[in-house]
Amino acid sequence: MTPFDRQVRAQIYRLIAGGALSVDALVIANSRGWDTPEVESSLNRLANEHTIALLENAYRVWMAHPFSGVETSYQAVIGGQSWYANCAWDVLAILALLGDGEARASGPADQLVWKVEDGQVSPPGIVHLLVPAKNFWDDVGFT
Amino acid sequence: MKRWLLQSGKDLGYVASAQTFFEMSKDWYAGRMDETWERPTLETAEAIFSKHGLTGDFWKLN
Repeated sequence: MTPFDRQVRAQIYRLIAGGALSVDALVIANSRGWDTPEVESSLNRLANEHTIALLENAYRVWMAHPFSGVETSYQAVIGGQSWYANCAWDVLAILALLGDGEARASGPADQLVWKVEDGQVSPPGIVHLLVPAKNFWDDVGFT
Repeated sequence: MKRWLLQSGKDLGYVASAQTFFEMSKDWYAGRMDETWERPTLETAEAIFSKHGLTGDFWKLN
């Protein structure tokens, strides 16, 4: 990563962790007074390196793991704040990063809620991964 | 879980406890939001998985 790419990547996380949804090149550029085309180029490099994922044909962040840049069925909630995650692993990871709270997963018929408090996940539950680790980025959306 | 996967035609994949994934995430995502974050090497990544009992071909990166 170039030094600028590092700054852009960190700013993406700052914005999303701070509660922003719909983080795109313009939002990133405006937040720091950067040139939008330079941010777009940086986003492309970061996506090519599988550091982030962009929505197709857009300069909008789709994934900055463990955060999702779009609404999903997985939501981490701490106090009055919430963040979307990409999957069950990531919703737990957001709490591992940010602190105790709830990991919520919504399905067509029901909702799963795990509470994380003092490093303990309750109730006990399982996470299933379909795609082997070496193939995570073959189709990161499917993963 | 196995019955659902077999009925749906999906591969078995890997199943572990939510607690395991939560604890592994602390190592996996450590420093992720920092400007200085570096992608771990394949060896480091596999060591993180292994530290939390995530072993076998499913977790191999090489």
